Amino acid sequence: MSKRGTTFTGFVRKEFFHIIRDRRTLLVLFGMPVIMMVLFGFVIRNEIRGVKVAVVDLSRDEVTAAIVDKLQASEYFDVVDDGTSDIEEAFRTGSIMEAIIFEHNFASRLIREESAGIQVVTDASNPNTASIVAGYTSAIIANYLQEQAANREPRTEKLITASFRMRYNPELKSVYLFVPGLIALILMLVCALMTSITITREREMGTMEVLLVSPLRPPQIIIGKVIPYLLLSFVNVLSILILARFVFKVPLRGSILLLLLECLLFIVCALSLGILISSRSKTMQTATMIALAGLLMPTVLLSGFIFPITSMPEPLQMASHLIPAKWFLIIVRGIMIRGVGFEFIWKETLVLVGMTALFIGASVRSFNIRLD
Amino acid sequence: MRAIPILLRKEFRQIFRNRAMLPIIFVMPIIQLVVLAFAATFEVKSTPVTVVAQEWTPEARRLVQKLEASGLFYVVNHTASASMADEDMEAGRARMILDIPARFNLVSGQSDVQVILNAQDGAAAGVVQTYVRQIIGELNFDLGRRAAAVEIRTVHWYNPELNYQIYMVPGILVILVT
Repeated sequence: MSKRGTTFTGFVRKEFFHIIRDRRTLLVLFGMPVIMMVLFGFVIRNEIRGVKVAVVDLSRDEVTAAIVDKLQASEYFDVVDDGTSDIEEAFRTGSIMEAIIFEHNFASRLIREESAGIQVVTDASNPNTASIVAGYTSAIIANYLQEQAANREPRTEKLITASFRMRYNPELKSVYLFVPGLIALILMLVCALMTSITITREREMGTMEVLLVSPLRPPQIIIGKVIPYLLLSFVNVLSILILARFVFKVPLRGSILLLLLECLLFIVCALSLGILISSRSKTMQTATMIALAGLLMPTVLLSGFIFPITSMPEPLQMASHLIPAKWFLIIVRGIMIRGVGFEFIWKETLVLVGMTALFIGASVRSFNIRLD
Repeated sequence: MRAIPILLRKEFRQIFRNRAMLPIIFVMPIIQLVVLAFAATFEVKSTPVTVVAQEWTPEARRLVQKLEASGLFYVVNHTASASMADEDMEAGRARMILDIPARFNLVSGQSDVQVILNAQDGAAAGVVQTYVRQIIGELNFDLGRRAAAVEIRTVHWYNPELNYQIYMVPGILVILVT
């Protein structure tokens, strides 16, 4: 066995011991992903379900009763109060999100083919849900009326109609969007944060001298520091994927092998980014701040994790190209939710490979072999 | 008690002495506020659509024109093959497939179109569905059809123009202050 080989493996083992000895960091390393998954998966939801509706029925006839029944039967709505007089107060306290008002003599107007009016009022503090809720309400009412009309007279006039199919996610579950993003976020968080302090810590502790006089060359030092975190992150990936698949029921429609390989690529990318930060920071405090503010914040905001990139203004969309997580998200969502194969994601994979090479190259260059 | 102002001065001096941290402390929150204000929106701006049509009837043309005219949709591909459209959606080029059947017209043929939405983002898909329904309702009206004699008037309270910033900025403020 060559002397170099033993030195290197010895170095890797030392790094491993350092990590394992630090119990609190280990807790963060393995516990945080689980906590984040639970938080985002169970607590934060974007779905329309059980929307509280108040009905003000100035008519009180069979037609209005039937419409209210249909609304109540739908899983989207929950008719809260029948006959509230003060809807303004109900809106203000937040106990309802929508109010439906039927005008007087509703059924008799319909029978006489006069126009009968329904007023729908929504709480538009959240504009998107307000549009969706109003849209669903109109659709349910329109459907009911069409059915009634069809029953009464033969259909002479045809209408253009549309049947909708929600592909990949028929129940419109919000976890399908969040969970792949969480994988990216957790990996980026753990990898970059952990490695960003590793080299700086050596400097601060004064053990950098020992490293520098050892036969290890800069590339070996960097790779040696990356390997333990690589293995630990891979364990994290597996646990996250298992949680996603079995607790949150997010499907994995594509090839698992491809997914794991891409995860590995992203882990290496995140780790090398952390090392880059570490090799350029003078103190651990600076390194952590740069990692948090310069890496994590942009990743959460601009990677498409929560806020869709297509909704952002042009300059921000261009800025999002710089964030590795953005490309990784396209890959993960493609494989997990759409079940695509490599031929659809080779471009994004190439980008990640390029970024990784860039980060590692820059780290090696800026790793000073003199004590600065 | 008297030591407090002295301690304060010392702390301030220490903070300002650390050159690298200064930009982070002062510039970062501002950048975050700006970025967040512009990036944090769930507004669905423009949906790419692939149209599948075996036959171009005037009604089909009108439907597509109306969708594009609304500014909320833009057609990325016309094809006669459903599998090409599926590929567009898998590749991410299209988020919606509009499948117009043969003999699409209101008199004797088929009058139901199939709309397939990429529902990865469930909330966005719901919004797009609402848009499509609205546009089809308008098209029906243009063609002289009325579904029923009911007039549904919708009013949005607290945010009548459905402006996203109103929703986001208070939340952003809270997060930044924390």
